[in-house]
This record gives sequence, structure tokens and C-alpha cells, in this order.
Amino acid sequence: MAERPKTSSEGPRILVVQEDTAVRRSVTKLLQAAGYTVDAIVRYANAQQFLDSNDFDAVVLDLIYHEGPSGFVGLRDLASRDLNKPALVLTEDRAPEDVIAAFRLGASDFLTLPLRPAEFLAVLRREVGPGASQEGSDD
Amino acid sequence: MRRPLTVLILQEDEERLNSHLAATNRLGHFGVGVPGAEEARTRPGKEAPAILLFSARCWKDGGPQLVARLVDRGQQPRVLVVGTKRALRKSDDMREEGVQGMLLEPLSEVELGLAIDEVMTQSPAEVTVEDDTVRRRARGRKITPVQVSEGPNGTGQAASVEDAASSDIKHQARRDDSPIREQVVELAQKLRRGGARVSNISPVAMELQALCADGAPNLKALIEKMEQDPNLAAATLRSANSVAYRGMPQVLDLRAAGRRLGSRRLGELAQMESVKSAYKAKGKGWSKLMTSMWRNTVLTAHASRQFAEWQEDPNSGEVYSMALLHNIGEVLIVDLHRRMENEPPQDGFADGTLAHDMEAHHGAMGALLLKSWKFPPSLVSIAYYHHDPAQLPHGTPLARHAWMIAGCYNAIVSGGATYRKEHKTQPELQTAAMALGAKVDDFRKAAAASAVWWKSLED
Repeated sequence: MAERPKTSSEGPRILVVQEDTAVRRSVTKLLQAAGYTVDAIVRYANAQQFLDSNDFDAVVLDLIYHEGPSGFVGLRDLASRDLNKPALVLTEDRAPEDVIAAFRLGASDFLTLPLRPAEFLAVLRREVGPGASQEGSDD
Repeated sequence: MRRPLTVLILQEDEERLNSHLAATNRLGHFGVGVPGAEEARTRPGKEAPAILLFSARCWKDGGPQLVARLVDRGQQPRVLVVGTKRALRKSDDMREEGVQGMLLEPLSEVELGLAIDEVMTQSPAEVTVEDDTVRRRARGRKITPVQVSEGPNGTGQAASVEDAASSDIKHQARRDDSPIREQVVELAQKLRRGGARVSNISPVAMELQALCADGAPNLKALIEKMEQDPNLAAATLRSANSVAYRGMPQVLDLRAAGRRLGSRRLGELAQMESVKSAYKAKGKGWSKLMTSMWRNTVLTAHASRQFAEWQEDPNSGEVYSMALLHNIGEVLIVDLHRRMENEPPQDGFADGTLAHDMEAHHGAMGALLLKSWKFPPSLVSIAYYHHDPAQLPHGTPLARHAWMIAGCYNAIVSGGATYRKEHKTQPELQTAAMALGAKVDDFRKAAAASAVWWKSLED
């Protein structure tokens, strides 16, 4: 599938893979408000079409899903595809071994819930640039 | 980096199954666990496993037949078996049956990752079953636990991380991937081959350690070993002629010195001196750090034995050996940093990347080192689990010893005998005390007694 061209009004496209409905909605709303284009899915197992199309700028994923491959598997999968797209982990507080494992597998950053909007947006801005509504706002 | 693989884990022990699943998961592979070969046949989910990780028992109870069935269906699994040394004693037979790699319990993440990379470079196992006799042929080269080497993707993985953006957090990620990870992987390979020359510990010193770790050492056997190492012999004579024996005639004969000191003191001395040789490094910062680490280790060993005696533990001697060696993996990490010509630690305190790497890798590396030196499994387990004794079966002597050592180490560090700028100690003293039915103060008293003993040595 060809990469979808972005229009000038569209911000970077973020793929959110989050099982928890409340968290998924919060992240989606926050990103949309900041001017990012968001695709939200529940599990990494359903992320195949996005990965094949390469039509995204960053992935925000959890580490544990109740069904299918975990976020660790997702991180390895992303790294093995050589897409060079940032993968941010957003998850419950985890053991240090999990944090280390995530970075080893190529995570760009590791953020824990509850969601801290300012921190989350700052990290995303660093990785993929500002959203459409943020451009030129505070640089 | 290699794509995620499906690993089917066949393990009858639930605790081990969960531990292997967690390790597989953290490696980024998709682990599926079942308690036996029969359950594997009827499990839900149809994804073909790339790797079958059997426990030795599961392999024996229908493993070859299961692999034969999968191969008949056109699948191409690779086969690994994990077990205790005893369970793998018939490793030649297993290899003959077609097992492509064998791993020892306790299984670490590093070992599993290396074994997966290695076995995936081989051809899949090929199986033929005739008249209830399984004849298995592995087309590819078979591997043993000591032949594991880094797969072809290893270097590429490190390079790709190096090419990543240079933000602070990405730098943090690189810490675990490169360059130290490459060095750690290389060292792990050497350790697994059993031929690593990674420290200054002489072979005689290691034999002595093993002799003492096996239980109360025999005085004659101890002296015979010590006679083979000039440094140890000199330390024995110095000790036998020290101020503690003032007024007694000078001894220049090792046997006489041994009789004067007694087997317990001699055993301790042998262990202390042999470990000391490992904690030596050239260069001001490195040398200072190693000395602090050695001091911490000896203090912890002394305090742990004291604590064990207060707890009326019949194996206080073993606890001493365990405590003396539990952090030996840190020496390997320091050695790696030093050989990579990294900046020596400031004021003899580990900080930043060095401290991080010590924390992240020392448990697994220490366990591999002790395993390669054929130390008893209890010592290997302590090296691996001392930061998380709750992983060991509750109430067993091994778990109790791990809690004792962890608690005493914590108390020693809290008392100031540290070697890191920010020394976070796990588990908490309170947790260790609760696990042993002891008081937090008992650890502190053991640490204080150890400090007094150390001071007497300095005097």
C-alpha cells in the first residue's frame, strides 16, 4: 500500500495501541487536541495493516495485552521492520527489568500511567515534532 | 533485529513455566506455555511454534513424539531443553535424539536470548519415528549449552541503535544495547564455554573456593591446595604470625600455620584471599573502586555468617561462601568497562553507565561465571536471585540464605560501606526481616559486628 500523503493541515500520524478503553480515549483526545492525527486500536495483533502500509509517524503502545502478543513482541516486531519510527511505551508502573527489556527492544521512551499530558506531549513533540495546532507555538 | 518468534514452552513446574514465559516475553518473543507434551497437542491457537523449549521431564514424556508430529505436519521447529545439571546428565542421549540446545536452570534471560539466536541459525530438527523407537536426526549442527554464540543479527542490532537519534532518553536505551551489551554477550559466550579468563582469580583459588563451598573443608586438603598458590600461602603465614598470636613461636611451615589457625579460620582466609585477587585492577579510580567493592563483599560475608549463627542456621559456613561470591558478577562488569578504556570512576565510586550496567547485568553474569567454574547450584542461584529472593521457593534454606545475604548487604551499605554514588538496595531491610521472622535491628547489629571485626583486621 502506498504511503498516504499528508495534507498541510494534518499533523504527524500516531498509532495508539491501548487495550484500556478509558486510557485509549484520553490519549486519543489529547493527541487530537494537540493537532495529531490518531489511529487507535485495541491490541497489537490488529496493528498489521498500519505496519504494512508504514502510514504512521510514531506508535504509542502498552506492554501487556490480555490477548495476543505483548507490547514487548510489538517492540521487537517494529525494530525488525527497520521502519525507524519511534515507539513510545505507555503502561502501568512496571518492574525495572521490564523497563530495561523495553529499551533493549528499541523503545524510544517509557512513560507510566496515569497519563501526564504535558510530559506525554513533550516526549511526542521531541520524537515526531509538533501537532498541527502546536506548530510554531513555543519553539 | 530478528522478528518475533513463537516459543512453545513445555514445563510441568508452574513457577518455572511462568518464569520462562516472562523471560521469553521480555525478549520480545511470543511465549505459549503448556504443562506437557499431551497438552501441547490439544492447546488452543494454531500458530506454528518456531522453537519448542522443553523441560527435561517433558522431553522424556513424549517430547520426541510431539516434534515428530509437528514435522509430519510440515512445521519446522527447533528444539531446546532446559533442566538442572542432574536432569541433563544424559545430554549425549538427548543430543542423539535430536535436541539442538540444552540450557541449565535457573534459566536467565541472557542465556535464553543467546540460545534462541543460535538455534535459529540451524536447520530445523528432523524426526523419524519407527516401531516406538524414536530416531531423530538434526540436519543442522547441534549445540550444547557452552557452544552458544551470538547470532548474525547481534552486531546489526547494536549498530542500528547507535544510529538512532541522540536524545538523552535514547542514550539511556543504548546503555543496554551497545557497546556494553556486545561485550556482555561475548563474555557470556566465553563463560558458557567454560574457558573465560576474565579475572585475576587463580585456578587454585577457585578450587579452594569450591572446596569450602561444598561444606566444612578438610584441613589437610585445604593446605595441600594452598601450597600451590604463593599468594595464598603467604597470606596464611602472615595470618598465623599476626599480632593475634603474639607470644607464640613464629611459623614458617604452612602445615603448622594451618594447625594454628584451624580449618574454619583457614577456610575463611583462603576464600577471602582468593576473592581478593579478583578485586584487583590497575589504574587509580578502578583500583579504588575494586577495593571498596571487596571491602563491602567481605563485610557482607562476615555479617551474613554472624546473622546465620544468630538464627541458629546449621549452614553458616555455606552462607559465608555464598555472600562472598554473590556479587562476583560486578567484578566482570567493572572489568569490561576498564578494558573498554571507559572513564575511571571518580573517587572510587561507580556512577552513571557503570553503575547502571553493574546493576543490570551482574546477577546473570555472576551466575554464569560460578556455573562455568562448576560451583554448587545453590551458589549459582544466590548470585542470580540475591536481589529478588522472593523468586526462590519460600521457606527453603536457599531462600532463607538469600534473604540473609540481601538483608546484611543492605545493612552494610546503609552503614556506609558502599561503592556507588547512589546505592539503591533491594530488597528492603523490612522485607528481608519479615521473610526470616527476624528484626531489622538484627541486620544492623550483624553489620556493626562485621565493621568491628574489620577494624580489628586494620589494627
